[in-house]
Amino acid sequence: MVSKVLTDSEILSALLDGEATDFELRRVVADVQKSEELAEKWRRYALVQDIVHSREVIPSLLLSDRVKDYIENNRQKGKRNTRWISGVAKLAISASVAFAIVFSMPYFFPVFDETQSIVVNPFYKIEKNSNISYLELYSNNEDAIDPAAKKRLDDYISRINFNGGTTETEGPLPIEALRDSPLYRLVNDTVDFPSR
Amino acid sequence: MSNDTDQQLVNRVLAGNNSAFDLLVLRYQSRVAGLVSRFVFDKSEIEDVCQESFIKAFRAIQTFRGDSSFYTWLHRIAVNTAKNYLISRRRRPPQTDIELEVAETSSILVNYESPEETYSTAELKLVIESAIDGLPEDLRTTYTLREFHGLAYEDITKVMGCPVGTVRSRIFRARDLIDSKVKDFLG
Repeated sequence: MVSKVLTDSEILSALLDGEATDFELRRVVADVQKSEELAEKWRRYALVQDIVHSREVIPSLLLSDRVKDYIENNRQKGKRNTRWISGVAKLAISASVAFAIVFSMPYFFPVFDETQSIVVNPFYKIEKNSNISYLELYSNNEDAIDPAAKKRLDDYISRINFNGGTTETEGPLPIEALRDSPLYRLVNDTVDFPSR
Repeated sequence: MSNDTDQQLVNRVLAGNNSAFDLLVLRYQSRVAGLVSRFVFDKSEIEDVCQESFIKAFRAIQTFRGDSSFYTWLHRIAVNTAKNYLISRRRRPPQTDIELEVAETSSILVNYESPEETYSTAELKLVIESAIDGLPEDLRTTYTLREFHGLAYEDITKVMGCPVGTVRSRIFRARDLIDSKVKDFLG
């Protein structure tokens, strides 16, 4: 311990002359915090240097502890603030995620209220070529359906031909019918409009 | 050369090691107090202004670019703090600034109101002078070359004809002998 203080004192002396290495400086900065004796020695070395150079000094003034306390308190306060801010930030992020999940849930997992008039009944099995009204599929409340509307919809669906027309026409509309139209022309055709 | 030390310490502070600032406070507190005592004369006021100056310096350390020495920068902060303190107390600050060179070369006897303090500072100077006179020849020469002539260790090796380690050790031993007398005096 004695030799360590002695070595550190020699480093302090070199430090006063600007002749200590960066490694020595780091070491002595750490050691001065642990040893009041070493801190006092550094203060006295600097004081002697000031006095031999006839600088104006007040030797009895001891500020180091007060300034150190201030810096330490400030650091603690800063840490507390940082902790507080990071806590609030975490809470805000959690709240945002929860909000997003709760409000996006209906889009991905639709849940229907029993009081709704139109719902998909997942247990309703549709037999092939069965004569089931589509409205029946989407409703659990038969009384709510207007019978006339139901009939119109069923008639329309039964007439639909998914090849491009209705069952009343025979197949899709032929292209020739379009070509015969007076409105039909190729996009690069020029049109001579009659002058007025 | 010692400016390098201050810059190294400032760099440590900027790197987040606040303990390095403590070494700067310990080094300059007596000197800053001497400067502030030209503006305010009460001991508790001097302490408050000095503390405020160091705290301001700590807060503004990022703005220290090393264009001037650390003490020149600190000197400016201390003078401004002292002036602001006087204005806040509705007292008139001096019309002219106390320039660094004037402050540095002025008499060691300060305007401090305690005569005991003034006496003790003058007496301390005598103790130090006596301790230097009492140093062994090789230590005194090495110490004098460094402290009064401002030679770097490398230059002293050429003058003294000894390795740099010996120069460093001799200067340290000289300082330590002076320090033991100063420690006894300060109690």
